[in-house]
Amino acid sequence: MKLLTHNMLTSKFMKGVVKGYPLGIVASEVKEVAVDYNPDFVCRMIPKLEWGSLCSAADSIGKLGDLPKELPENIESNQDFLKKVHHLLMEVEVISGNLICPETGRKFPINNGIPNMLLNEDEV
Amino acid sequence: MKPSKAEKKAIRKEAKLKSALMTHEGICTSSSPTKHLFVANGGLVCGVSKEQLLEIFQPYGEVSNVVMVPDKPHAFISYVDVGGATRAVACAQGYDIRSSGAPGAKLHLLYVEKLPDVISPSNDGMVLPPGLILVHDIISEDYERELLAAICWEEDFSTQKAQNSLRHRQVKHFGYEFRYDNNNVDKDSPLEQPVPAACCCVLDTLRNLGHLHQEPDQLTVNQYLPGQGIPPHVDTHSAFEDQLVSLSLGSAAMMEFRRDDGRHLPVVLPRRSAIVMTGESRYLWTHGITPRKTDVVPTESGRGLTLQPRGLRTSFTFRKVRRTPCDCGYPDQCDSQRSASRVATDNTEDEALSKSNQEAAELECAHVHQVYEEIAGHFSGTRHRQWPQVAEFLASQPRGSLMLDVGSGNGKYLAGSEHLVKVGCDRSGNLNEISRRRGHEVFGCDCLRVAVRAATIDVCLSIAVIHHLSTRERRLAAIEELMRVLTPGGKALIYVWAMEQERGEQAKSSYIKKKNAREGERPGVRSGPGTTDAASVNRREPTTSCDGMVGETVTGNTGDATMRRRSTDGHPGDDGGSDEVPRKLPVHVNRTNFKHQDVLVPWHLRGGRPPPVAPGNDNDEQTPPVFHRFYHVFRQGELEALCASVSCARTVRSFHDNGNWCVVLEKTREDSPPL
Repeated sequence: MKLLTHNMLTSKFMKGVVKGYPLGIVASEVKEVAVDYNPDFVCRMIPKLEWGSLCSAADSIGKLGDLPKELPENIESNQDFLKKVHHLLMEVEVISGNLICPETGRKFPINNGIPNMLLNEDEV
Repeated sequence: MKPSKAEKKAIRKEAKLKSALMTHEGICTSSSPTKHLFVANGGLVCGVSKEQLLEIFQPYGEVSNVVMVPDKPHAFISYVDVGGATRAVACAQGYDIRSSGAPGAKLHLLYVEKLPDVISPSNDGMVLPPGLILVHDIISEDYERELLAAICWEEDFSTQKAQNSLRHRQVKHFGYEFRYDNNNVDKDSPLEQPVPAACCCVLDTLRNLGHLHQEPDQLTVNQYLPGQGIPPHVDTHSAFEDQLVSLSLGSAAMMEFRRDDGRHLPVVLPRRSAIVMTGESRYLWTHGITPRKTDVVPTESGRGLTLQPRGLRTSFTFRKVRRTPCDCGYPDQCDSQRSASRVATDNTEDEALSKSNQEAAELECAHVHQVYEEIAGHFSGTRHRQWPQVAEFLASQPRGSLMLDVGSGNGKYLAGSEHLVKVGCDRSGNLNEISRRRGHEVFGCDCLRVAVRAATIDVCLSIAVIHHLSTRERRLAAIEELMRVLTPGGKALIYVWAMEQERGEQAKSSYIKKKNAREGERPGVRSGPGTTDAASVNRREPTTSCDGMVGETVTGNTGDATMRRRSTDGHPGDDGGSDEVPRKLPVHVNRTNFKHQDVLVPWHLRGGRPPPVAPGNDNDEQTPPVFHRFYHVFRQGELEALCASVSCARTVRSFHDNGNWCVVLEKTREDSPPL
């Protein structure tokens, strides 16, 4: 699971859950893969992100580094910043662990890099 | 030595027959002699009767069974021992059937491993549509002559030309004229001639038997020459009361009753019998007589079928003209009530299919989710090429767009399209594993609850997913889910399988064209996400079809591994033994046109097992298991109509692509609800 995916995922569809976002991450295996850097992609992606959620996710797996907690201005020209975001969004992968619903504590297992967001019958 | 031209031709012909036999009957030919013979050109369609076949084949040994297949040019013969079959092949191969008086060609015999399992397509005459009453020998031969004499046809040719000039038969009306232009009667203009008095006696008999409760005031007399018929129809509800009486004089005929769900019941109307159509058989079933000179009827013994030539038949149809609007219990089919109930038609099929969302979920669990989980490996091996129009759609999306493929299957559309950022999701863990191994980003989720916050996705794909949902409500919900996750202005492309597999004369879909392909599946079908793990088997009204070649039904003990597994798992929540209840969805025959909208489509698992263990699936390796996937195939316009009721969606484009209905939707720029 890339952090880009994590940034989109929610447990809101569970019974009794109001927001279900952001999901906590408890990672037992994290790896890094090389993905071609494309500044246009990153620029286009950033406005759609929940920035705070990306920061806390990166922090929970020890990858925050010196990423600013507030989204800086003029990011288009800030190649250093864009590369960091690219790395976090596209190159860092949680291979195993759990995603945690912030309201119910329900764990969504991540195995072999695939988060399983399926619910049981009694949870919807 | 090279085979001669004639030998080559014979080899080709034999290969063709073998393939047809496998396709249509699921029967393998045998290279070594067996007791059973396939008799090409010796079938009912070639005008050969069971008696004729026996005449030809009995001299070679004791015949144990003759199977005539309705609407087919072939038949099957079994001998008590292999010797009989061997002698028949030695002596009767190439037998010219014309020499025994039938118009046909030369018989071609092949050894087969077995006879067809079920030959019940033509009704044995015992099963009648609900509400139909058949009374044998209701009148004597003398009375028959009296009634026929009461009709003077010669006079009609000059004076009532309009009435009896129907192409298929001679017609005469009494009491009221039945008008074929509007299929109704002019209730204010009775004819001079009332129903002849000679008819009173037979109507009294029916009343005394308790089959008739009114006084018919309209009589239509039809005369059919052999080869003439009447197209299938339901008598206009608003024209006549319930209880339509039809008397058969002069000769028997086969009347065919059909329902809109595909049921088809041929009923033999013997000479001097009467039928009374009441209730469902009067209001819902069409009845008609196929124009032909012979009928395929059950033999005297009731076992097997044979041909019966038609003679000159005269029918007397008695009806009571209706004076008030029809108030039958079938408003959707009723011209009196239809305008008020048109809105409801849309949902009828759903109501019949799934009584509740829970049952729908269970159906999808057994016949979509579990099936894809088990066939994932084989399935993925048959899905490589992206469909060109889907690829074009992706290519036309702005650079850097975030694409979510809901129901991404083996990740076919997550490959390529380097100008997009792509994420997939699917309900099947095994398919997700395959996508992951190919380097794609995926997560497990259900298309009814996509675990993504609102308004984050620029482009959505839903290819071959929504047709796996079993109610309209759920199909609608799946489209609304796509709209929810899209950003305003974002686009979704939806593909569903079409009921209409042939468009125009040349436009058969590749699904139909690949009729002879080894694997009976179609390209591009992918996993259908659905819902929860669930418990009991839902029950449905049986949709029996007598057309055995296509209307085969599946039950819990047909060897379907999915169902067998379900019945042994003992899921909690089963409502007492419902696992034993056979499911009666019709099973579709691959590479043929659809006859029903809600069907089970077989998947014949071949080759290796799916990589992860499939629990409870202990089929031995010799018999590849067959899985049945549920599909709701869409009729023309249905997908567009469904999308029209989705909020925040605008249909940009709708089209037909190779046996699929497709739409491109755009999320409108209205404010979408927060997360």
